[in-house]
Amino acid sequence: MGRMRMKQGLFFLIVVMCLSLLSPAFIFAAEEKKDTRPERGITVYPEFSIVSTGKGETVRMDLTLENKGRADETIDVKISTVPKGWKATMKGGSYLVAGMYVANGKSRNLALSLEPDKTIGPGGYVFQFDAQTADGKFTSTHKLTVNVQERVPGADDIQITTSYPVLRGQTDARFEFSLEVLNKSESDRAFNLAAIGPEKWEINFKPAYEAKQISSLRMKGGQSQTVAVEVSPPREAKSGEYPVLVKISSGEQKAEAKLMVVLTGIYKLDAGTPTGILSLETMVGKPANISLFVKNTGSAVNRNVSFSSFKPENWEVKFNPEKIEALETGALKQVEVTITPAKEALVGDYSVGLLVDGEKGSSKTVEMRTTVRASTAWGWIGIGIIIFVIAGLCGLFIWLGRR
Amino acid sequence: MKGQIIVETEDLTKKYGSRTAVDHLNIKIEEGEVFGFLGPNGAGKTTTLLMFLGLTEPTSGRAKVIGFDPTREPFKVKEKVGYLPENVGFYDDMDARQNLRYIAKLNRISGGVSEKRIDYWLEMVGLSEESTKKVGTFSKGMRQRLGIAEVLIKEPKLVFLDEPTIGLDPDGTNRMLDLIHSLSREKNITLFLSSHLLDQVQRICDRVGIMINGNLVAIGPIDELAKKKLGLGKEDYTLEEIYMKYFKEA
Amino acid sequence: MHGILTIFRKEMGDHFNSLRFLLISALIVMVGVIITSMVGMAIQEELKGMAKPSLIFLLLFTSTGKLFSFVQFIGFFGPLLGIFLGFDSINRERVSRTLSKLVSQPIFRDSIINAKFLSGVAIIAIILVATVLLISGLGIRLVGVVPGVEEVSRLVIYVVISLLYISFWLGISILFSVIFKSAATSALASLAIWIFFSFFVSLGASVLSDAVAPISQTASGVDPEMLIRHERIQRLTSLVSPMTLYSEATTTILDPMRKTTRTLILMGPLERFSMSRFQSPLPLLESIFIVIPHIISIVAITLLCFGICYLVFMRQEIRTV
Repeated sequence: MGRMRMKQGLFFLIVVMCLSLLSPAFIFAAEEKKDTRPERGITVYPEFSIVSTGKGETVRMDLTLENKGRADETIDVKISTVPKGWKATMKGGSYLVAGMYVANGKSRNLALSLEPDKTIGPGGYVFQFDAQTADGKFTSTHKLTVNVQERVPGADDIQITTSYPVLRGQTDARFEFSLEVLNKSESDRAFNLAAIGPEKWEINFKPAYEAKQISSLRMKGGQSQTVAVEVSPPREAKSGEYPVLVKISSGEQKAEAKLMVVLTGIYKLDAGTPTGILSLETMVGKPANISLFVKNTGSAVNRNVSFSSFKPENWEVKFNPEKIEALETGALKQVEVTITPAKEALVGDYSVGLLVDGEKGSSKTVEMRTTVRASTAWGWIGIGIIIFVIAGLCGLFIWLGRR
Repeated sequence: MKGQIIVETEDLTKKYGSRTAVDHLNIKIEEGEVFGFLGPNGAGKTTTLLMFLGLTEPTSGRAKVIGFDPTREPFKVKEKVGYLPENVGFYDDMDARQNLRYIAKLNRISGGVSEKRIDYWLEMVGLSEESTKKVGTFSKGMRQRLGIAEVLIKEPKLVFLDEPTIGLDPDGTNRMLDLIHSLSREKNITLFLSSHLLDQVQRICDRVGIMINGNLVAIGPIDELAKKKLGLGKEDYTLEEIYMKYFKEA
Repeated sequence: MHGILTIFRKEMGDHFNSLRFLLISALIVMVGVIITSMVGMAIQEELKGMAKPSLIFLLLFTSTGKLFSFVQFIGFFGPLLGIFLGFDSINRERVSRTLSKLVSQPIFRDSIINAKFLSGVAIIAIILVATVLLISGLGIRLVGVVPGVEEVSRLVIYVVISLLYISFWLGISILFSVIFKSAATSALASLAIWIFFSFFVSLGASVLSDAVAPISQTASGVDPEMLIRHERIQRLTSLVSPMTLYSEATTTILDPMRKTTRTLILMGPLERFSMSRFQSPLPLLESIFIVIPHIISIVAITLLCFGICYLVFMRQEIRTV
């Protein structure tokens, strides 16, 4: 606010800004230069005017006494109206306070504590605060309404908030929830951290950005701290929704946060030949068959498992079936693969890759060493030709030979 | 011994295209005789001989040589029949003995026997001295005599001699004819010589056949033919006269 | 069979005694030894420091060295060997009038042609085996690599193919010696055929392929499809020549890394990658299967040539000319 007024010149601004960084006191000093305040004046007011609170909860806030005048004042303060069953105290430090000295233009806070009885039910309770100067010439009154409501869980002294209460991922993933724990009480407290999750699940608490595991947490009153909850599902966990209940307690008070892990399962495929032999032989232009098994080694149903191949040009690789609609966890399926080398293929060893592509990047490549053999058809034709020619010769021998 | 038929033909015919080389030849030759087969050049004498040996197939008709059909069983015929072609050739870079040995081997005559026979026949044809000379250096007469030895080394029953005296000087011719004559007498080999040199044939032949343009115009002993053609009583005839008579008629 | 054996022996004797045989076999052996020495020493240089070389031995035969390889040499001069051995085999007998005498002996007439052909084949086999053994010995000495079973088998197959190939030329020359009365004519005719197959067929093949599938040098480079077609036509045409058949068959059988008899291959990048994964020499059987069509063709033309030769000889009138 003071800075706004300082906008009178660029130079001044810069200077003051520099100075303000160095010394806030200087700003106040500068403020007093233009004193337009009344001669005398006081105000009393609580931090809030109307608050809602849970049943049985003590309402704590600041009660501010402000001296608005130019003269220093000693102000007496009292809680003039206290509803029945409430115990209202004003404390400064560890003392109960009924009056205090406030320098001109200053304000001082008292810790207001409104402690309800066990009998206090829901309803509105009005408290009135009266303040007057020592000479009694100036008074100030302020009211505070406390609406006591039925106790809301989590709305305790401990407040847990999380931005992302539901996490999704594969079974082999780690889920890390970030919880912000707020100690709403005034005092330092140790909080026990506990979590209830599905069986065999591992749940650990960790301070944010630290690797150590913790089971309790000490926090000053009013402070908040971020706690990471790390959830590791077991490998065999099926896909589904798993609630994790985080409980933070301190003595009587406790708060809960419902977290949710949605497991999509692991997407993993394995493929190979039943015999384990990764080589096959065929003739030029002649198809060769092999059986390929595809196994879902993940924990999720793998849908739309498709096949493709890495092959030389003009080769043909066919899969039967062309794809698998759904492969259950642990299920094994056999696929017939037909590899047909090109008619122009050379004799020798080729590498043919059979790719099995599943969901979520789960894939497996089986490399087959495909030995292309020369066609023996020519051999038979050739033997035929040779036999034909030899038969012709023999015919000649028989026809003409006996001379 | 005489009387057994050793060569017999039945309408033996050979045509080269439209030309008839041998026309329905019917001939019978008895074992042990010396038969002269006469005719001008190109009359079909050599063709007939080739058909007897199965080296040429007849167009029609049949022949029987030493009891076998030369077309069907040339092997059997060639085993027992010698053939001395006109102007017989030799492997000139081999000597006389090597040439004979080669022929002996082809006739499956075993080593020991063949050496004896080679010696014998070289002696008989008077070439013992020259047996280690290369045949290329031989004179015409020596070659012809070596040819006779070569034919006889297989000890044939029947020998065809195609113009055996052609190109020989008078002395060579005489020696040749003596050799042939003695073969017939001593070894009892049937001889079938074809020739156009009539006076030589006349000297040694028992019977003659005259062939003109593929036709056998006459066959029989020379004196019979003389009687038939020249008339009876003519004592001083030559084969040439008979032959010319036939030749004019043809 | 007796007749064949007797004539065969005589022919063998004739061959061994002839100056011609001596000259040509000396030439082949000499050239073979010179080539091998050169190639062997080159290999020796290359092998220094190599631990265990494989497939080196056959390089002795296939490596071109400075001039040409032994295989190329045989491919080119082998036909001459065949021609020299056969061009006067029948007409020599005819001219010296021994043929009619021979056929009147108690042998089958085909014994003559069979024995002549077989003796020629035997002589070729002797020259080939001797030369290959000589080169092998020299190679072992020079390179210090002992051939394995597979290499020996490949060499044996090579010798067999060469034998068939040269026998084909022997058949050609014997055929001409049957047809032509004069040895000179028959020799010239054989040589003409040889020149035709050696030079003109390949020339004709390239002319034909240029005409049917011209390779146009456009800005975008050569169209591979056209190139392949061009190559195919050229290859098919030149396969008419037994020389092409032979050289393709032998180079493939002697080089286990050769996976085709073709010289130009259109290969996509994927195929090349796929093949490069496993680079291993072909097993012997595969090499054989590749060249089986070639071997069969060579066998067939050789037998065919001999058959024609036989037929012509047997149908000929034996006349004392």
